Amino acid sequence: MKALLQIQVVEEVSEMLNTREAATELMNAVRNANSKHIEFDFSNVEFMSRSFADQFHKERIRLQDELKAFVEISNANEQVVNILRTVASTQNKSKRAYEILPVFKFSNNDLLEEYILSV
Amino acid sequence: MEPIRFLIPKRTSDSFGDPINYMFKYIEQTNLSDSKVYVFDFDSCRFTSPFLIGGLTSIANSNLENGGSNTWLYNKNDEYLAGYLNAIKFPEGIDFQNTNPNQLDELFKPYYDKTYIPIICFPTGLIHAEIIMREKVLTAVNTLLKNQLNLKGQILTGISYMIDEMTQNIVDHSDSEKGIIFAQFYPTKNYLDLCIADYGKGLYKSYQESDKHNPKNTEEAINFAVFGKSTKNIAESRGFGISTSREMLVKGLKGKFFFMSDDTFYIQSQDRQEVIVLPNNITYKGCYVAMRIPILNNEQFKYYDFTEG
Repeated sequence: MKALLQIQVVEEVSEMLNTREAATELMNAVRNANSKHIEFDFSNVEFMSRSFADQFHKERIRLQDELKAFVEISNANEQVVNILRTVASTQNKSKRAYEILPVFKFSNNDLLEEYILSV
Repeated sequence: MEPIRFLIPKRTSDSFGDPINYMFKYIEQTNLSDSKVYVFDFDSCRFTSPFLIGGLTSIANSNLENGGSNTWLYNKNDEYLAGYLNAIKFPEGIDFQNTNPNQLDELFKPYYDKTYIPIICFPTGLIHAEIIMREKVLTAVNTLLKNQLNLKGQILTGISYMIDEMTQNIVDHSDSEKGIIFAQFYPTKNYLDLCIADYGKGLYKSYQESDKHNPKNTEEAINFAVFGKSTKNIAESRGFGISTSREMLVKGLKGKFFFMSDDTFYIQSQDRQEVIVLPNNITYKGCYVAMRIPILNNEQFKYYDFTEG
């Protein structure tokens, strides 16, 4: 078992981390390495999407629970830190703003046209 | 059976709704005929809109998937239009199936000094090769827009955020073989028109199949979606895509957001936020998003003011 597994995220994925599936693939590769100490180095990563962040967050917790691994995040820019913080704080968000929106029906194309051209 | 002939107008106005109104007419044409022979007639067209091109690409792909055929007519002597349509890889878009993911940078480089991106028909599958390609394609699109718009900081992050959220929705919910992205920047007007579409099962069916929230109809499904009620069974952390993106666009960037699925659309702008049910013969199979994004040097805008949902 490796003592420390260092992952250069920019090399494994790219400078932009876009999709949920890419996060899953990254974490599957890490899981297979079966290390107890994992460092994700986000040097040169410019952007992380919310989908990637959400999946990364879930998989990180799973790694910590299942493998009892110690996971560190290093050299992440402000955007990456921010979106990871956001997904962590909204994992169990039970109260979301909700309102019933007004609904307008058109059965006439001319009225629809008048409406859409007014936007 | 007579082919369906889609007459593309000479031009559409700057009005956000004008190209969308043409989309309604084209959708109605497809709904009123059983013909699978489509003729897209650009012969009179001089300037077109990403909202039209993106939507027509979706209609054409859907027709092909259903065994239909598409013919594209345009005046090949019109150097400007022919050059433009050729440059955006009209109508098929870039063929990613025969592209090496590591060569995307080269493929996109010719667009760095343009004001548009090529038509992107990205794969939505979950096999490794498609995941890698989708990731690389989205990176290439975001990098291209960054270069074209000469943007950095919060606005750039916001645009990347919205593109990724809208495309992830297609992957997660649509069952569409491909997702479509098309965009054009208008430097003199300082806005980017961005269209993201699919020709999948639509929002209501996605909710029905998930057995979550059980909306009564598409109107309610759209209402749920725009306020973040996810179709996923792990809803607590999901469903932020549309709700955060529309708020970021309209409240943060002062833009306009349009989302259509089946016989219903949602519209949000500075003066309205409402759901519209379309006349009987206008039903779009899939989801279609049109976003007008002002590209202003807005230092007040902080994208993370809108990510909490």
